[in-house]
Amino acid sequence: MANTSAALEFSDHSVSFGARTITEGVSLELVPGSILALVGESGSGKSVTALAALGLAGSATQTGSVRLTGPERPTGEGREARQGQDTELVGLTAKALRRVRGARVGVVFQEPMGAFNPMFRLGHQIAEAARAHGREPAAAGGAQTTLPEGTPTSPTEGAESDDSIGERVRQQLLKSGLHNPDQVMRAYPHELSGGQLQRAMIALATINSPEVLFADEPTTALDVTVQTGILDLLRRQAAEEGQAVLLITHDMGVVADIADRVAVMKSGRIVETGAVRDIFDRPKSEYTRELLDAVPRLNAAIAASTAEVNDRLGSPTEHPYGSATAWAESSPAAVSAVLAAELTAATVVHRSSGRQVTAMDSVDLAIPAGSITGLVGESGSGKSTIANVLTGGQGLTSGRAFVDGGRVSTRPTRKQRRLRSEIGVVFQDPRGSLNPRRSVGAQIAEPMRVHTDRGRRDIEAQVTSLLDDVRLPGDFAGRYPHELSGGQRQRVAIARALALGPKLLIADEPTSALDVSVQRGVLRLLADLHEIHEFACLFISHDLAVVEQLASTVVVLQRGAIVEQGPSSQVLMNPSQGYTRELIDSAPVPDPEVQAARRAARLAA
Amino acid sequence: MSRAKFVIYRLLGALIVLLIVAAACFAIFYLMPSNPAQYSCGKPCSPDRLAEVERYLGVDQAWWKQLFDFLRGIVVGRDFGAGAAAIHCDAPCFGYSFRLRDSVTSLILSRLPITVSLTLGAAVLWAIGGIAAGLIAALKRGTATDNVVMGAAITGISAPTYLLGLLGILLFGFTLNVLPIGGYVPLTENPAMWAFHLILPWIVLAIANAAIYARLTRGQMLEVMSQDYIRTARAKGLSEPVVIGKHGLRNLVLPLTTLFAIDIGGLLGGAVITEKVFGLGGVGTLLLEAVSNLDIQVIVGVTLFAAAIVVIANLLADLSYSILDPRIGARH
Repeated sequence: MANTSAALEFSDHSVSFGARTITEGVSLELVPGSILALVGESGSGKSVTALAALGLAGSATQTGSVRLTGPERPTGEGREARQGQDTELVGLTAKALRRVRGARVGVVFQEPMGAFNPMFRLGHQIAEAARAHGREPAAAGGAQTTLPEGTPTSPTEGAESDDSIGERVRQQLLKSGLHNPDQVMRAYPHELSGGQLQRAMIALATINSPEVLFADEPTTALDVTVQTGILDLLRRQAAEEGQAVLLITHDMGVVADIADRVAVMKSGRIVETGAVRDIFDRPKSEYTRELLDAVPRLNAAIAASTAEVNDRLGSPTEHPYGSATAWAESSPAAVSAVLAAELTAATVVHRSSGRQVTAMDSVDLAIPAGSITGLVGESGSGKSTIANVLTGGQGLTSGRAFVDGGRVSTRPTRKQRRLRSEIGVVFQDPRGSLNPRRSVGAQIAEPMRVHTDRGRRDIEAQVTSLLDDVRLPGDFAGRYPHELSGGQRQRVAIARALALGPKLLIADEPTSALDVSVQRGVLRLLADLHEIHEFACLFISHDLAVVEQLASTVVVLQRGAIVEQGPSSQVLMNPSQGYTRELIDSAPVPDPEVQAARRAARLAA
Repeated sequence: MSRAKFVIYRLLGALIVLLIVAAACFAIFYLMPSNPAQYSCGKPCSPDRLAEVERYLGVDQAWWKQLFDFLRGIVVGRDFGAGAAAIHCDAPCFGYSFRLRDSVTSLILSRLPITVSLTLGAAVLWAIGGIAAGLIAALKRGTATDNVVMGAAITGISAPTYLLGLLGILLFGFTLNVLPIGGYVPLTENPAMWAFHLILPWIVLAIANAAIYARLTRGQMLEVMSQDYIRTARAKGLSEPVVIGKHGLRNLVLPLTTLFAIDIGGLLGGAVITEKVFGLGGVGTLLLEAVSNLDIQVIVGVTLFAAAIVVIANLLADLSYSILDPRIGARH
């Protein structure tokens, strides 16, 4: 227990809200210069553990101990809590806890756009963090944050000057990899990208050189290509600044990439803690094994890595779902010449405040009947625009779109209604796509009521059969969305999308909002339904591993244009375009050795 | 869209709205089966005299000609009648009251200081009181304080202004005998007496409106305080007053400004009931008297004036958005 090297130590820490216990007996050790990953599914209590310790979890009550033992640092006057003594965070007064937050423990949050106040400039918001802990200029220069040319230090005690704080913010932004700090400081949050904002957030969290950094799903809302940079930055915070980093994540690829140690959490308890390689190679608990098994692996990326690693993983046939090619062959699409949907030279240009934004740039895309086409690309690459065009929600500036042989337009004609009835859509977040005030049965029945003149009995029977198709009991028809789990809700959304027996199913990131173990079941279900109903599927995802498993054809989008398309095995195993390779390389593989090799290669480059 | 372009579009839009309001007023009062000349004619009204009055008012003309004359009067002024009996009404002419022997424009202008004094004074009170009450309720959410403040707010919303006014007069005017029960002293004449006479009307008018602000503030504040950036502000180690007062309140400015502009605009067109209760001869009273005397030119004129104020207030609110919220409009 008395490990003096830990910067922050949770021991037997429990959090509860009223009578509801969220976490129990959590013990964690955060060591300077090292990253501890706290993994587990949503709702397992990962975030609440960290936030409660800092008094950021609302009305949470805590028992046990969270000891902050950082080394003595130069501090201003009257900051006794920061002198060498250990600080027990549980039960600390609000005032003392406030002096710990942002000064000794920095926090990076998941959604960078929401984490900044939209009303204030970034420079101001970051400077606020520095000002809140009013360090004397001497401390700023003396701590680990050694500034290149000495900060203008004023001999008088009291608040640091605005210029000096501004300079600190500038330096901090530069260190966080933002090469135009002045521009960033002047910007409002909505003027920057998610990646830039997250770097700014790391700058904010570390401006007072905290001993401990909490990163709560720091890359979950970001694209893979951006994620890499953020993870490198966090890695550097630990390695170069000597911070003890607590990385909260559900992504085993991220864990494999940058964690030194891993703690696995399930239902509020730590089930296993160990070095990252031990966890991946020799998971002791059943739950850890399940969690690792459920993670989709991109065979292509693994195959591209070193041969010895490849050997150890075994051949693609040992893949949990069988190889990608096997799935593709099993689909009847390969032989079909009929097209379920087609785009020819389809272009969408948005005009806003005089500027033109090309959301889709002469896209030629053919989705054969009965096939699964995977659509991959970063956010803003035009994936969802394609879906919107096919469903008649977005008009084309030029070019043509066809569904089931009929030309798609945004006009509300009878023909368009028929075409729309040939398309089923499954959205990313079933919580948002299902109406909370209508029963599951009513929502599955709705497409049939709108598009057919079947009788009530007939429709009810069909609802039961659809529920059966998605492996939900028939009595779910009477339930409401809030009574269902995330995975069950998504099954309902799939049942609704299939209600009319569509020729084309558009699945827009259908598993991105789900935990990996749930994701696996939903993907399996989609594959099975595809085999039974033989619909064509446009499967939109940012997760290449998932696409590889499911799709026979992959289309890679970048800035609205198709950069590469072809059989998934070929595109993902042997990409002809640099951008595709970049996407494959950026997606972290849940294997510490592969990730270590990649990281070394990246840093060497 | 540049700001200048936005302003021009909005002004054009405002103009169209006012034209429609003018046409609607006109249709209601001039084209209905009732004859406005009848009201001006007096009793008894001989057919000859009626025809003369009709000519005088111009209501013997085609409806479009009447509307045109009316609109033209706003721009260049207007003459009623001809020869020695002619009455000239300077631009902008919103009509002429034969009963009060004055142009509607000058009638409104003479009453406006009273209405402005009443409205702005009350607005300051209700904005401060309402927002403060809403903040307290939001921060003490679910406690007895919250319930008391919100209960009072509901009472304030449901209590009719005239009831509050009469209760105020009864309590402070008669029982306690500390405040005047009505009347108006111009600000330029005696500022102290001006305020003294307006205290009760201000409070009464403020109570009814403060309640709405309290509810809006509470609701918005609860939403804002659940945002991620509030958690970030706390995670920085900012003190709770800074988190609430700066990061929280700043995000309430927009909805509150919108509501404020609409309310002020509405009341400047005449706080009818409050004015009546306290015997303040403002624009609202002018309208009320015109209605009871069927002084149609005044009714139309005041209605148009009120509509114009509302449209302008909304325009100002819209223009302020791009200053108040960095996300709206071009910043550079």
